[in-house]
Amino acid sequence: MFVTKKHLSRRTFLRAAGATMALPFLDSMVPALTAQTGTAAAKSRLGFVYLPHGAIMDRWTPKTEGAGFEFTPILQPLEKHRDRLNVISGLHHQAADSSAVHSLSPTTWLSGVRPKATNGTDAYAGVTADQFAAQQIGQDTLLPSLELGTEDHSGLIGSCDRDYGCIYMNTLSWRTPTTPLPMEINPRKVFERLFGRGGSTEERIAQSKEDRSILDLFMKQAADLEKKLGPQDRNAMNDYLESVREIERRVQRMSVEGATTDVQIPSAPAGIPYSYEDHVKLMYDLMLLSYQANVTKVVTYMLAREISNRTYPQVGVSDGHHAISHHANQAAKMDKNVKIQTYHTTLFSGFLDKMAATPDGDGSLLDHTILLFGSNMSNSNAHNHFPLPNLVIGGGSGTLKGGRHIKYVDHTPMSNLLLTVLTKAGVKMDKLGDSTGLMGDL
Amino acid sequence: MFRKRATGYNVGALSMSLCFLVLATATVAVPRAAKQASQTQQAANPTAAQRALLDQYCVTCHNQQVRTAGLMLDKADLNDIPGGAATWEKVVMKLRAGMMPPINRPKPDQAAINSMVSMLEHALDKASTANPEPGRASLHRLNRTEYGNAIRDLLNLEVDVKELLPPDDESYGFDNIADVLRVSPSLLEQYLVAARKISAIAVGDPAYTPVTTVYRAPPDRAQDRHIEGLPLGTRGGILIKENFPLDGEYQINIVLLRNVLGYMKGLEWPHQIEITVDGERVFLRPVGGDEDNRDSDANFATAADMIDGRLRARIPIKAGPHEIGVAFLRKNSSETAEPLELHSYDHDLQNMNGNPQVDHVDITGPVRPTSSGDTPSRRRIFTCRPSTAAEQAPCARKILSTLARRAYRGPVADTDLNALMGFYEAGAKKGGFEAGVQNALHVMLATPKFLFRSEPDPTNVPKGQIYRLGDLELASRLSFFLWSTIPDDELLTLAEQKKLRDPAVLDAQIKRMLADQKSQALVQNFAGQWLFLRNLQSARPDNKAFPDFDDNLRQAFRKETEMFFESIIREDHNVIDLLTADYTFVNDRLALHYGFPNIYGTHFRRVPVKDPVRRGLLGQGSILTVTSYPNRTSPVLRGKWILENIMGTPPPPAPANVPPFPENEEGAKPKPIREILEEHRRNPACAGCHAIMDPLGFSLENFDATGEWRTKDKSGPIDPSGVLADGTNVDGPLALRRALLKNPERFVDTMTEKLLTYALGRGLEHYDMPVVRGIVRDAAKQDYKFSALIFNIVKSTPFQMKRAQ
Repeated sequence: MFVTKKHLSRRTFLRAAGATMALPFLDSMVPALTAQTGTAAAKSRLGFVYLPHGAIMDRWTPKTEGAGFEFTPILQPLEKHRDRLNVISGLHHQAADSSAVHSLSPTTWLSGVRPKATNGTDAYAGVTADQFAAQQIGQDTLLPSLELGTEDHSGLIGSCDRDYGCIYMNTLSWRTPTTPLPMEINPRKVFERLFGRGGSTEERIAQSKEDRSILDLFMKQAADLEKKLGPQDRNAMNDYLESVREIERRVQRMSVEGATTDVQIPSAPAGIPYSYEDHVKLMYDLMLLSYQANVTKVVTYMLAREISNRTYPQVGVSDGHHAISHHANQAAKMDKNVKIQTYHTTLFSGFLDKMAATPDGDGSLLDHTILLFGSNMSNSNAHNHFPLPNLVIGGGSGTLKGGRHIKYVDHTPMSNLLLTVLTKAGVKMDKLGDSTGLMGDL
Repeated sequence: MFRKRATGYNVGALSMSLCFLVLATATVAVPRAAKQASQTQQAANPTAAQRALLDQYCVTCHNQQVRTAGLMLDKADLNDIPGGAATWEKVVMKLRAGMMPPINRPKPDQAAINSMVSMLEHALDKASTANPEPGRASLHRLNRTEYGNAIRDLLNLEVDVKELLPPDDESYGFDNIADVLRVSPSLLEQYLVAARKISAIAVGDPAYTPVTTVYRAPPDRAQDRHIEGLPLGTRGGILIKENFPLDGEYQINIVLLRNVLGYMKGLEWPHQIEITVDGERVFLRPVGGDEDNRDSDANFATAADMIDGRLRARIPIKAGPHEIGVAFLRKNSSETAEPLELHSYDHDLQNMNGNPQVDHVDITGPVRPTSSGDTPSRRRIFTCRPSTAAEQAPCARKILSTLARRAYRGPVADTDLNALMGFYEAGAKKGGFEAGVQNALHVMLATPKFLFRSEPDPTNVPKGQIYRLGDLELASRLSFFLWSTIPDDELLTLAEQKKLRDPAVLDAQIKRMLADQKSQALVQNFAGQWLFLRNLQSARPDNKAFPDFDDNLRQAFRKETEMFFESIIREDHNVIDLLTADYTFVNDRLALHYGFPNIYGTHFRRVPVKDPVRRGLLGQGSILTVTSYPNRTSPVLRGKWILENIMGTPPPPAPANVPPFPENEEGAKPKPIREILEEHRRNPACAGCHAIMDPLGFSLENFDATGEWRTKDKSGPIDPSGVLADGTNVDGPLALRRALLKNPERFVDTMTEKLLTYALGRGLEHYDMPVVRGIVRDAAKQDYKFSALIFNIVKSTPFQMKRAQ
């Protein structure tokens, strides 16, 4: 399979055989890994995995609270990870309440801030939880954060809300109120971001030195340009300068560390797989790999875009997801939604299997991670945002107990959960979005 | 569109639904003023007459208490129309569209509406002429498509830009809107990586790292017939267009399709598969037949691997662009059990019979490269060759200044050239002359000078003043509008000579640019987004409901509408022909779908459309498919598409907490979609918009979700009848088209708004509407020819002028 026995620094790029192999590429990798010692796992990793179009809540939410609850049909595939999993109920994200649910759900899920109503011209949104984490715990890794997706929105014109434009629907992640981060859908490009295009360590360091001098020039040119521009254009140029600075930071890290790692890196994947399932799994693999190689601590992953009309024939659903999500409370249609949602918890469970089997410091990767999995919509037929389906999974380096269904007072702000997760991961914040405090029981 | 803005500038049909609610729950007295308005007063004071009209028919809903759609016409001052331009433009839009007053409400006669509209327009247009407002033009990052085109034109190199950069966000329906083309660290990083890869390929870096690229045949492509572009006499396979970075050997591996169990398909009979390079066969191997079949029966997995192992070729290929074809030789019918069905596709891959098919091809290389070769990009870059060490730096300077002038779209400042030369020196020191050029090129392709279109205000124009753009800025605007790329040498030279603003020169340039092949960009990018053609790539009709749909049909849909739109540009038609033309473009696959007889072969050709229901965009499979769900038609989506893209009056978003949409219960006898939607419309919150959208969509119900004509569906006969917002009865595509063409300028208006949005790279504001009307008025004198729209847009205030910031 894809496992090369080479150290990253000696890895040759894209072996001919490797690139033609079937995906996903980590299937036989985990057992080949050896336990890591030393540096990693100082702080927890964070992951935010988003599913569009809500859930059929009575088949998501367990009947009883506390420990020992009975797994519901949608959550059933996750039962083997019971000890590491908490079902969080009673949450509400008011920031998403509007007629523009599909646009607002992704952008507000991690911010709890209602963005400015605009078709994009003067888009302004809340900085998202993952980005607060990137600022505080992501600065000692090559990438402060990584954003993943699966859907090419260039083939989905006209599906956005006109009061809240596509710029809000296309991402979960806002670095600043004016800088949305694109969700990368091409596994090969993700891989290259994580591990470069190969060559020896020396070559890569030489490359990064080149990059530094290029960036110096860009800084100068951009600063010159900025002087000549009007105030509004200056903002755009500022984003550019910020980006240059951020890349400089990375390049500097690379030169310092030579980007070495003890982790054995598989060969690069070949591009976007045709099968959606392969695509989803491959992105999970890359997520795991980025944690494991300590390239980043913070990952967001949008499993599908809002208004996605993807069909799921592999589980017997030939209707478009968005179309069927307006299920009109009809049993047959609700069943199909349950099938799609269960399919996604199944794939997620596969990812957890690998996380739990991957050694990391004194435990497993899953022990040292906090994952938020869920949606920012509740009942897709009603387009509402209470009660939200969300799970918190992982050991959080000892900060998180599992095995519980925790029901909070109805309409507890989802932002409280975000704040709690960040706090457990070592991010210092007093408030996030419309949060009112930490969640004591978690 | 300005009307899409949320900042209070949002008159939608929502206004109507809310208004209905108000009327249902409150008694609102008709203002007395209306009753008092007498004929004599009207004649004496036109403003009073219009005031009376507003009071009688509009103010009931649009007043300061009810504030329907945020519009308050009771206090709006007809004596100062320019002062309330934003408000009055909304009124004009709704009245022109025949959408106000709503159905079931008292309506003045059409003459009175017309006179109101022309009075308002006259006042607004006059004010706009007196005080033109060009609006703001922002710093514009090259989007993905523009970046790829710029590379093509700068370096004579085609790159698959989708593999290098992420898609751009869309706003106002287009992905070239300056304000949403943001920059983030990950994006800038991708531009840097792209620049590194492109410069290595363009120069032919001898140290180019071998890479493997995988080319997949779309899994829903039927491979039983010839595929356009591959040699005649072949069937199926895949055509790969690729740039080879160096002269050398390349490893080409073919992998054939397995069914779900892992059986390689179609081994029962002998076949032959070939590889061609630029049409010339370089490799031929047998697949299938008795021996392979026996092996597969014994152990399908090892047999399949063995056959793939046979299909590996190491082929010497020269650097540069080549077409690699992989296809099966077509057999005649007596030699084969190839299916008789024309387009069968085994969607779930349950079958192991049929024909072998290509799953994917991967190409690895260069292996044992010999030289950088002679490629179009090298010829473009190396305009001089140093023969001595002393000639190197001057030659590099010449090369870089030539490229930088094109890339930066104007004369190159010494500081910029010196910066590039610094990178040349650094590269040359390590790897020689060419490496130096490559290094400088790498920098050039990611600098802000290349990535951003900036239009700094001249220092001598005071803040807030309007001024005419310089020649260079105009050249760039023109080029990015018509070509989605950087200006070419001719355009740039004219701009440098300050001749471009000369009207005769500008006219000649527009003509030349429209005639140039590069104006195809208007098809790909403008029409591709305006008409949602780009959504075909994600259209996946349900294979149970539409077993005939395959990638071949999807591509044919796209190509038909693209060629059709291109013919309107090239032949400079009246743009209304987009809705009415009696010709189209088909190949055999599409002709079969439409029921056109006697069309053979995979190439596209122009054919007359005899059946009038198929004429124009509304009869084309592309549009009908992208406005459908995977398993059924959606009159709502189709209605919305027509409102937005043909009539220019998009409906507002659905209100929050919409009541559940009742649909067919599985197992029960299916209810007609009409009955379901009628139930939906009983809810007053929904009725306002759906009463407008649904009848438009219903008139196209005879076209199924892939655009095939039908007279009945599962629930019974199709009923395409309905009443449009303005009261017109329609009963099918013909009546719909007649209704849309009652006011042809409305369609031209919509198209102009879309074109202007695309041309400026910003959403339109109320102050742009007089400009739009002016463009349409002038175009009317030229029979609404496509070029007339383009000429008038280029000459318009917002395209030519700027306000100093």
